[in-house]
Amino acid sequence: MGMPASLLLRGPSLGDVDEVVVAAYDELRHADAVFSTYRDDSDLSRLRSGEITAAHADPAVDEVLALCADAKRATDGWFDVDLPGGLDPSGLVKGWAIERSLAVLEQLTGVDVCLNVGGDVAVRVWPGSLPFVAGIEDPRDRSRVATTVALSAGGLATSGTAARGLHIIDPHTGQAVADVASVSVIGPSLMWADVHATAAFARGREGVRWVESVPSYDALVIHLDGSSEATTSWPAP
Amino acid sequence: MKRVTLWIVSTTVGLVLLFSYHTSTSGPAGAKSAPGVAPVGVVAESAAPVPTAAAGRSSIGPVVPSPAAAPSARATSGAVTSAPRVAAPAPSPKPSPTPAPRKTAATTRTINGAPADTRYGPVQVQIKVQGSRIVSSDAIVYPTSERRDQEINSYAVPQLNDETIQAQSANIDTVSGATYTSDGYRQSLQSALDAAHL
Repeated sequence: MGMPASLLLRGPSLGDVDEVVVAAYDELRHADAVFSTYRDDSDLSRLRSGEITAAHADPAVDEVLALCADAKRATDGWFDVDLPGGLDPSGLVKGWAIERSLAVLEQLTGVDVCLNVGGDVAVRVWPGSLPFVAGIEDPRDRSRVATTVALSAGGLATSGTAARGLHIIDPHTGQAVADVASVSVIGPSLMWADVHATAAFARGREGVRWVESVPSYDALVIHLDGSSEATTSWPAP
Repeated sequence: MKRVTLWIVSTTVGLVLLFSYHTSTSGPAGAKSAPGVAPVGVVAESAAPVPTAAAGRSSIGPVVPSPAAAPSARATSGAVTSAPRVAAPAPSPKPSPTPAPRKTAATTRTINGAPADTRYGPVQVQIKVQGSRIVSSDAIVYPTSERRDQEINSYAVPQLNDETIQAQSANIDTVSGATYTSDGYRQSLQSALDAAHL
């Protein structure tokens, strides 16, 4: 079982990219080894079981937990990794790992990069090149793309229940929420786009209004009835 | 030039299970594919046209080539190639497909992707290719072992077939919206594309 990472490279010459691509995948693999909640031998699992302390874990653990604290503050507590089942920074680690992987790929001068890991997308387009076109899945009919958005930099993350059912919890009540069908967020950092998408989804119908107040990030909410609502700077398709 | 690589990040799914609930008790991480998957690679070639009628749950009719296909900086003709040599070993067994020579547009090739292990079980995709275009894609192996799986597949698999075609014709580079079954589907489709040397 696993999650596919799809990497799209675009450029005049792609002859010698293999080494960098392998290194980029290594970043994802490393994040998995350290943070997987499915591996008993991951640093996170050993930390949760009390087998090790944070001081003995991979340095990335400290970095990520600090970012999680930032995320909780930035979202007024709506993004919280302290779950009933134990500490679980997975919702932030995914975006964090994708960005690290993308940073490796940026060594490829002149090569445009579009990295999609499980539906979260980070891109890097060089000056003079066309943006990538990302489709946003219609949560009510997943055979369709609800809309498209052109991306030249940063990330696009979508939170929703279409694929996995109710899985996002209101941290204030402990109850699963699904007041909207999906929330997609774009912005300069995929990790933060993902954090804001999760928090906005948990906020429900107030989510899009809240993202409006977050500088440099924009959101598109698709409501349960199929109507959509976006922040004022969300780009037209 | 445009190139796609796709690789399964083993158990990375664990990273995104924040807030998750478990919909299936089958398929432990790293599980091998269940028996019953079909041979991988080019399994049939014929000069006959692909049937137009949708048969059963998984067939899709031919797609009219997109009028908006391939503006300047997007993929050059036939340049969408994948790079299995780059990819790290996939968790599922993936025999090397027999390289297939390019055929004329009149020839239809039937290609099976490598089975992809998803949270719900193995998913394997078969595509039919005319020239360099996908004209149909079917999920030929998909999880049915548990009720929840059936619920998921009853809407996910047929729609995902459409999604593949739609994405191709709409010239979309990527799709945002996380899934499990479709992730496995895409991986398997990608390996079918590898085999087709698209």
